Amino acid sequence: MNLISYKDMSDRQFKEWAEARKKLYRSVLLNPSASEEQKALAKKKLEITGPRPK
Amino acid sequence: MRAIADIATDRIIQVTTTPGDNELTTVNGRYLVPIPEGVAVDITSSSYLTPQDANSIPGLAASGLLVRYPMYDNVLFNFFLESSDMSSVQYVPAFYPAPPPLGFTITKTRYQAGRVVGPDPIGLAPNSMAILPANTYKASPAPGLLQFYYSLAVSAREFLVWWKVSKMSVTEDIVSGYDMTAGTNEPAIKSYDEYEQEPGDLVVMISNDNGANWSEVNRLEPLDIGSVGSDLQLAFINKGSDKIYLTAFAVLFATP
Repeated sequence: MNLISYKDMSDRQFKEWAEARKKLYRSVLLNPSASEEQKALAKKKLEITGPRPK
Repeated sequence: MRAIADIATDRIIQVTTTPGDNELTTVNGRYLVPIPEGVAVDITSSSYLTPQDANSIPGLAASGLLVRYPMYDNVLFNFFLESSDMSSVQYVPAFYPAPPPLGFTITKTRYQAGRVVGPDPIGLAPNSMAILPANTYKASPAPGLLQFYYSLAVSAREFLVWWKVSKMSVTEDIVSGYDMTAGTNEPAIKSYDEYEQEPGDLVVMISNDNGANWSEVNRLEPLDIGSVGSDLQLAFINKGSDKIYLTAFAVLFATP
């Protein structure tokens, strides 16, 4: 099986992926009409955009 | 964008833009490795196709999809380049849909591929995996079915699928010494036909519970199955009368 997770990406691709993910889910957090459930999910999604686990 | 490689050495010999629908590319002695639309992959003299790790062209193309669709954090992919790529192909279908929406009863897989097991060479040739056309001559018509199984390390319920399908055509090899065609000497030309990626005859179904429940999935459209599962089955079904070649596919999924 050829499988790549965000942990396996090249540094450049991880940075691009993390930036795109932050942009996507921060907009949910800033959206006043988003539900608490949606905001909690967005926060969870943003947890893995920080330093990459080794 | 696509890379063109020599079939004998697996070396990349050309990089081209993706032509429009129904444009032919001659592929005698070479094969195509498609890069998903919207994904940028830098291909240099040190780029390689196999092994298909994160820095290979297939790996970079697949992880490029993650960058394009950042709501997902894993991608599995298959460009049918190595013998190990065959290990996920299912001989026996897990897919037995009720007649609607397909209008077919499925009892067998029907596809073109190399052998999955046995002595080397295993028989896999890039760009040669195909979903056979439907056999409508039976009392119970049989569509083409190519099915894959993956046991995921994590459970997932959100998926997005990318695929590249094509048609192939091969002209006749003609050497003639007869009458008006005397002197004709034309080689057989194999052509890769850039083709509509969502043909009406192609149905793609996905299951994350090893085939107990199936959902139809459209190309590059997010799908939330509703319940998590780690036994991924992916079925490509051909209802039409033309053979459809499956050049590559990738499945993006999100860990809950």
